[in-house]
Amino acid sequence: MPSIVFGLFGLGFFIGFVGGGMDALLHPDNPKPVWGKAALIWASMTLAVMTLPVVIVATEEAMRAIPLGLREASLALGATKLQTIVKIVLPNALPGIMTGGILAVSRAAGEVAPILFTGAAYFMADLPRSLTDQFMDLGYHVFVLSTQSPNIDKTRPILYGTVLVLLVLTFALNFVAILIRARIRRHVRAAHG
Amino acid sequence: MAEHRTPTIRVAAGLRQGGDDASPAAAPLIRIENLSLYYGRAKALDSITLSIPERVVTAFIGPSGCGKSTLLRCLNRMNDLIDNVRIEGRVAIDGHDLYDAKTDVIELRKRVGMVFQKSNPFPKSIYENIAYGLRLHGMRDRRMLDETVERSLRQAALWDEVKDRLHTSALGLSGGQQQRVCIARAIAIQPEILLMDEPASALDPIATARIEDLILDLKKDFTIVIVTHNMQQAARISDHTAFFYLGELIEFDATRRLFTNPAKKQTEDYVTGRFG
Repeated sequence: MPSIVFGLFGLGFFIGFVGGGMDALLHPDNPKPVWGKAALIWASMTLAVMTLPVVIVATEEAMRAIPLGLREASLALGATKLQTIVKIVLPNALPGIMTGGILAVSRAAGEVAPILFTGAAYFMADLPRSLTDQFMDLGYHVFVLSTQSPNIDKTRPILYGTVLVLLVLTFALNFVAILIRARIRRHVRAAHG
Repeated sequence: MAEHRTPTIRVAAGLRQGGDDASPAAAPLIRIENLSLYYGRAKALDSITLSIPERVVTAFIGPSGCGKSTLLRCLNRMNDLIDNVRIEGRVAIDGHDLYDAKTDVIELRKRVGMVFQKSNPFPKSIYENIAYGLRLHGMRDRRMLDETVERSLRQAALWDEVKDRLHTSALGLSGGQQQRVCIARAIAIQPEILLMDEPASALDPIATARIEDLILDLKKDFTIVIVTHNMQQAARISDHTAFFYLGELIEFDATRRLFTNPAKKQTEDYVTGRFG
């Protein structure tokens, strides 16, 4: 599904329905919307909704890959289903679940469309201070700098700088995630012999 | 180690311990009455009635698909995990109906341990494998855990081989050792009954002989029900044997009698190797 659709969903559902509803309930006298506007929290939730299927599918697959014999062994020792999942299935499925998480984070990090209407600001002088603040997005900022600037030559260094930060950040994020995954996998493998 | 032990000697030894030619009906611990089991509409077990006495080894034999493993899994309700299984009749341990709505399955599985065909140690250390069940049932004290792990491994005749590597992965052990870890894990929580589903079928003859020795040793403390494909094995280690064919119990008797003087023609054909 195109990610802009998630952006529109976030605008309609989170900002309009949830945020608007919260304003009507919590701040009925306040003419300015507190929750019913583009904000960090709604952008986060929109990205979460977009990446959820990847995480769910990866988690399901990873858990399904745990041999039936291990579950049976646990249950036959008098473990409940929940104990079996928490103590046997989840720890062994962790590398697979992490993989799904990494894929989701990578995808979310590069997306602009879902947060365009739900939280990203054109320009802000300060960092966001609360969940209801807007924020700047590196990808969106690149777009703004490269298309909306009256003086291309002056903005070009800032543009390159922004792109570099975006690349380094995404790379670092993925790298750290892969390190964590490798570590857990080694841990599980070590237990496997 | 297995070679010099002929089946007949082992049968005699087994029967001496279990009481000579004791009738299988004496002092039943497990009583199965008219038990039928269906997978969907297919009938896998057909009105089985069987009494299993305490502290003897009872073997279930029969060709593949005869329902012996299914019956074994009725005794700790492992069949509950399979969809579409329907059970009629009664299985009682110490007079308590296993399939009564009030029966606590967790408590039941604590009393009735199980060892599977394919050894399935957890991908954890040897120590953690044994301690898993103990922790589940509330043992937290480090000293008590250490002691129980050691005792269980000694009972499973594995302690001397693994005492220096308790905290290494159980999956680094040989197949026979892994199966003994599974046995140690099952007996650590001190069940009364130990179910074994072809525990040696994936092992080489030497590892099999060790498991068989272990079973003979364990019957001092546990009531053992073992499913086996291997008739020599049943003859070597069991006191009573039940022969199943196509979901029916054909004959149940003291092992020696069943192997030397079976009452039914079908049993005779099977134990003499004419079919199956």
